[in-house]
Amino acid sequence: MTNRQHIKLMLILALAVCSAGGLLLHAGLHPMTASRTSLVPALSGFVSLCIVTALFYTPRGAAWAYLLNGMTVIVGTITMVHYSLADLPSPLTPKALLLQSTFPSIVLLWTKYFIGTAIFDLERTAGAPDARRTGRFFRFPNHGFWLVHLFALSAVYAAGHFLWRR
Amino acid sequence: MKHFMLFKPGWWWLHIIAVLFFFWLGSVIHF
Repeated sequence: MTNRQHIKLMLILALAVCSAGGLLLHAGLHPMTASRTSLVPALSGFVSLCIVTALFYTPRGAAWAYLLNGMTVIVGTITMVHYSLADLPSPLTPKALLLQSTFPSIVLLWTKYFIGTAIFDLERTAGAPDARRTGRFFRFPNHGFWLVHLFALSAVYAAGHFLWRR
Repeated sequence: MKHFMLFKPGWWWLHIIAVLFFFWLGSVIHF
């Protein structure tokens, strides 16, 4: 095993441990199959823990794993923000908003995004590890792509929530 | 013009899946 392969394996393990942590944290908060809503973290956790890690392990699957990993982070961020907005702390102070909401969990969730980026970049730059970074900020696979998709998909989610209640 | 293109032509189907999925997710989740 080369040093690069070892780094990649450790990052994949970090991603798996993060996903398992999130899955267990949710299992402790509510039964995973209690409702449709409880199924979302269960399915996202399963996808992160099994599918994303397996895809990252194969060089050809890295781009799909990166896309799926980012999307699970976006799903988690949007649904947890929604959960906090639906049940705002009272009295509403900046401290309560920061500490008694899902904000700490969202911050933890974003470690998954950065670990995924590190694995994908490790794979993508394998041929030229010392080359300068190029590409447009708002285009895949750069950070701006995720920023745009976070806001755009939040808008789509909100539209679904308010216009198509089921 | 190329720089202002929002979607690369080959990926339109993935955008449709993503929009439908997030729209559906928003419609089924209630807290």
